[in-house]
This record gives sequence, C-alpha cells and structure tokens, in this order.
Amino acid sequence: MLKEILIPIAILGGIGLFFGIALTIAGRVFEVKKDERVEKIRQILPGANCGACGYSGCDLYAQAVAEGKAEGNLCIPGTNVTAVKIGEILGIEVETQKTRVMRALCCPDVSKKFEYSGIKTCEAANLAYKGENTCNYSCLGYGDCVVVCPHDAIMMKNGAPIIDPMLCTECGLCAKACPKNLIQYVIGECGYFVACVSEDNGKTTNRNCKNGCIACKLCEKACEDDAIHVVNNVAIIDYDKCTKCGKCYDVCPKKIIKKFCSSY
Amino acid sequence: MTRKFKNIKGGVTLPHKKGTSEISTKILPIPKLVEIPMQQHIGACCEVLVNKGDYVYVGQVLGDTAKFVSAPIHSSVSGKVIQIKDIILYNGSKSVSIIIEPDGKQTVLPDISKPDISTKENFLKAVRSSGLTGLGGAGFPAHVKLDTKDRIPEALIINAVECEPYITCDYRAIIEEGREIVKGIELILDKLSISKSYIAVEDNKPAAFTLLKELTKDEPRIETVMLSTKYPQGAEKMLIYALTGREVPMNGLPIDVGVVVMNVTSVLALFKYCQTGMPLVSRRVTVEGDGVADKGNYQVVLGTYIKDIFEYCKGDNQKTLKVLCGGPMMGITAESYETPVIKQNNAFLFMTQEDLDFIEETACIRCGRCIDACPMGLMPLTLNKYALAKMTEELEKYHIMNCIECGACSYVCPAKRHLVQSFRVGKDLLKKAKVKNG
Repeated sequence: MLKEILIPIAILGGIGLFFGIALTIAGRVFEVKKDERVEKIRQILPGANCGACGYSGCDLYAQAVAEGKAEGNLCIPGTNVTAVKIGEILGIEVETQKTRVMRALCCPDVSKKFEYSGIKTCEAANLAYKGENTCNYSCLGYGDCVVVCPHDAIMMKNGAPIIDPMLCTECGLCAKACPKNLIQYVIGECGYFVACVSEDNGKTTNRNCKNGCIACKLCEKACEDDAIHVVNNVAIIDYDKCTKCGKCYDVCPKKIIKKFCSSY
Repeated sequence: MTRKFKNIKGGVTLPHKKGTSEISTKILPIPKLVEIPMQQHIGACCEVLVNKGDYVYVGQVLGDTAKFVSAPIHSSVSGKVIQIKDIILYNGSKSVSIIIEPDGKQTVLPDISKPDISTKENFLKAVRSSGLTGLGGAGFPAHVKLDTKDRIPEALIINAVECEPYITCDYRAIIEEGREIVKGIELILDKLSISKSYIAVEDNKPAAFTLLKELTKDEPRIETVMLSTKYPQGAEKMLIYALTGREVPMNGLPIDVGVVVMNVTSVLALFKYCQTGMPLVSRRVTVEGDGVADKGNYQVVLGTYIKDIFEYCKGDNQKTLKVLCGGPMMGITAESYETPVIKQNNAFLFMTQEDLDFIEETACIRCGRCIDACPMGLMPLTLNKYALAKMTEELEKYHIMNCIECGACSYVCPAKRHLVQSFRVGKDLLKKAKVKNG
C-alpha cells in the first residue's frame, strides 16, 4: 500500500528535481542580458502608441533610444518633459524641441471648377484633377485630418481645419493624412504664420482664391530681420530669425499672414 | 460559326445603345485654337521641343523623350505656338501642354515622306515615329507592344469588339475603311512574321462581321470570328482568354502567352502612316448623349477642345451635366469644356439628367455580386474596405494591381458604392507606400 504511493512520488519528485536543476543551469548559461533602462524609459513614455516618433509603438521607441539608435526628443505627446527625463536616465543631454503648434496653412475663398460626386475623402478627391477647387493647393474640406485625429482636436470651419492647441498633442497624424501637405508645424510660443502654400504665380493665385499669397514681396521688404522670403511664389517665415515684430502682418495686402499662440 | 469560344469569367451584360452606328463619319472643321498635352500615353511624359512663337507644320514633332515606353507627339495643325502652359491631368499629376493657333492652311511638314519599313527594325522605328498608341482607350505605345524581341507571337488578335455602350467609332472604321484595315493587318503579319491573325467582332455588329469576312476570304492567315456580346470582352486580357483560353500571367504582357493584341483603329492608323508618312494627328470619335443634337462619328484633329465639338454638334448647354471622355463604363469625366481631345479618346458622351443618377452610396451589404461580376477574379468588396482604410499591405495581398478598372463591379453594386474610384485611390496609396519603403 505504502509502496504504491511512495514509488510514484519518488519518480515525480525525481523528474521535478532534474528539470529544476536543468532549467536553472540553462537559465544561467543562456541568459539574455536585458537593458533595464529600456523598461525605465518605457515607463515614462506616455504609452499612446501614436507613432509620431517614427517607431511603431512606445516599446520599440524605448528600445531604440536605449540602444542609441534614436534621439531622445522624438516623443511628441510627451513634450520636453519626457525628453529631459530620458536624458537623465541615459545620463546624456537631450536637446529639447522648440515650442511649436500645428496649423493648417490655408483659409480658402475659392470657387469650384466642377461638381465632385465621388468618394467624400480628400485622398480620393485629390486624384480627380487635384480636387474641385479652382486653387490646386487649397484645402479640399472633406476632413481626412478630422477623421484621423485621435484627440478630437480638429474641426472644419469655413472649408479649412481649425486645430485646438489645448487638445492637440502635435503627433502629426493629420499632417500625414493631408494630401495637400497643408498642415504644418509653426514654431514658437506666439507669433505669425503664412496661411497659404500656393506655388502658382501671383496672377493665377489671385484669380483662383481671394485669400492666397500673390507673391507681392511686401512682407519681404517690410521685414527688418531678413526672416521672411518669397520662395516659389509663396512667403515662408524663417523662425530662427523672426522676432515677432508683426510688420509683415501689417503690410500683407491679402491678410494671409496670421497670428498664432500656442495657448489658444 | 462552328467554332465555340470560351465565355469570359464574370462580366456584365449591358444595353448596347449603339445609336450612331449607321451615321457616316463627318469631318470636324479646324478649330480656332488647339491644345496638345505632352502626356497622351502610358509611360514617360514628353519634353517640349518647340518654343513660344514658333511656326509649326502639320506632322511636326512637338514633344518627345528618350524613354522607351513613350510615343512622340505631333502637331495636328499648322500655325503659331502661342502658349506653353502647365496643366493638371485627370489623375492629378502635372503635365505641360502646347497651345497652337491654327492658320487654317494645314500646311504639311515638307520632310514628310513614306517611311522605310524594309526590315523589322526599321518597321518598329517607323511605328514609334508615327506616334501611335493604343487607340482603343488605354494608350499603350504601339511600338512597345509590337517589339516582341526574339519571341515570335503565334497570333495577332485584332480587337474590334468595342464592348462599351454608345461607342461606334471602331465599327464605322471597319465599315468605311475595311479594305485598309485588312491591308494593315497583312502588313503587320508580314513584318513581324506572324502566321495567324484573328479579328474579333461581337455579335451585335453583324454588318462589320460580314464585311470583314468578305474582305478576308482570299487571305487564309486572317480569320474573322464572332464572339457573344459581353462586357468587358474588349479588355485585352479578357479577349485573349475568350479566343485562346490562355490567361495572361500576373504582371505579364500578352506576348507571355504568345499573342499580340491591337485595336482595329490602331491598325488603320499604322497602315495610313506606312502609306503616307503622316503621323497620328487626327482620329475618329463618337459624339453621343442627349446633350447634343447632331450625334455621330467625327474625324477630329487632336487637341480640339470639347467645346468646339459641342458647338459643332449643336450641344445644349442647359441640358448637359457631365461630359465623359470614353465610354460610360470606363470613361473619364472631363474637367471642363476646355479639355482637349487626346489620342486615346474614342468617344465623348454629353450626359443629361436622364442619363445620370446621383444616388448616394450606402453601406456594403456583402451580397457578393461584385465578385461574380469581376472578370479578373478579384474581391471588390474587400478591396474597397481596405482602400478606404488605407491598408496597403492587405491591398497588395488581395492583388489590387490586377484590377483593370472596367467598372463591372460598380455597375452591379446594389449599394452604389464608388468601387472603382476607391481602387484608384488604393493603387495610388500602394504605389506611394512602395516608393516610401523602397
């Protein structure tokens, strides 16, 4: 009776002991060295998995930063706070990003070339003669950016998107979704931006849209800091040089140089 | 007919609406202005070879490129180049077009003479310099198609199917210039040493069949065959399957299964070039739809604006809502009346309210009719879903690039979903993703 119980216990115990020892040895010998910094960095990342850093998810970005493959300041929702913390963990100095906001560089006042009745997305409308608007660079207004925004920060008003800076985390998904490349970063706490990207010449732009940059270069002449230039028929502000004096804003005959502030 | 041909997979049966088939072709007068775009074919865009202010002759080369898949573009009128402007093509890509003010004299370029077609190489060179592209609608350069390298095709298939409703320009070409077409086929057979040719006609055009049969009765190499009517039998891959039972492999060309397919009008244009040396500068187009009073086929010079055709055919501006360049299934809507006629435009349909129904698209009910209709054996409903969700990997997995955009799926869809347009978006997304990922 006792024998019938003891023998199986001895066999099972033996097997257990054998595998226990074997696994312990194997664990020691084949141990994968894990960088504990990866785990630490992962914990301070926001965990939104937005992909704005260029990696598919926070885990992969944490690993890339720890391995030195990526810069520490790429996490956009985490802002500079995360960048500084990553720098502390890695013991290096991470260059902090400048304050910036996303703005749609268009305020269309256009008429229609034809009536479009296809799929109601910007991507599809752009493939049909670059959209129904007379200006080929203008916002199509079907709201691909609104759909793609994970934070509900965008709404369409007067045919162009308005981005709420309080909700926007600057992840850049809207910029990628826009087939016209209208949504771009503007740099600084407060300042000015040019709300037009039309590379048509002044005459064509003026005919196509009432709110277009006509490349008159008045802003270029008014600027004392050499910060605004007309390149490819559209004014572009160099934010490194801009002192936010507002002279370009005052002289623009089309009133397409607009004020922005990151807090409202 | 005793021979039995295969039925194409899928496809739809459409009303024929060939109302202009018995009206003989008229010649449209030379317009006041012509606009000649530098992209009238599949492949590389041509570079402009003339300057503003130059005087050009009929048949003078306006644009050419060194790239292989391309065709030169010739002036269709004699006159002065008044503007070279940037344009946006129907698919949103940029191109250049040349605007010429004709002097009305139609002075032909003095250099034009009968081309040298003594050897195969010279013949192919002549085909390229004729500027000929597939006139059936795709616009594939003809010399690329005929240059089969060292492979000798078993058969030359002449596509006279014309499966889209309304269009009758190929039919009129056969009726009016059938003799030249047969001579053109014989010429190609001789030059490329092909031993057999089939002319495929659908059974809704019995007059064309009888005529071709009569004209080819002394020529054993050419056989005229009649196919049952089904859309899209005129598509190259479908036609090869219907006649030979062979399937063109994925990403392959018809020569991979030993055949070359040419449109009947292309053969005619090629024959005329070999006779006279005058490149492709005009073509026959069908003008149809209730928006115009004088329907019929017209011989127009390339670059004529749609508005000139519209005015000549007594168009009604109030009634016309939409102008289609091509047939109702695959045609592209013109942007405005200031769209020029290009090489691959075979018809202009001036649609009115009665012809069109702008039904809002509703949700897919997964009935699967589009799968039955797709001649390529694709799954349009799945592709539609992935294209709208921008899922490029899945689009590639479900072979979106095999879609021939025939529109059979959109035609049968009870939810009226914009299937073909979503596939165009999907193809564009996939191409962009491939460029991005290398």
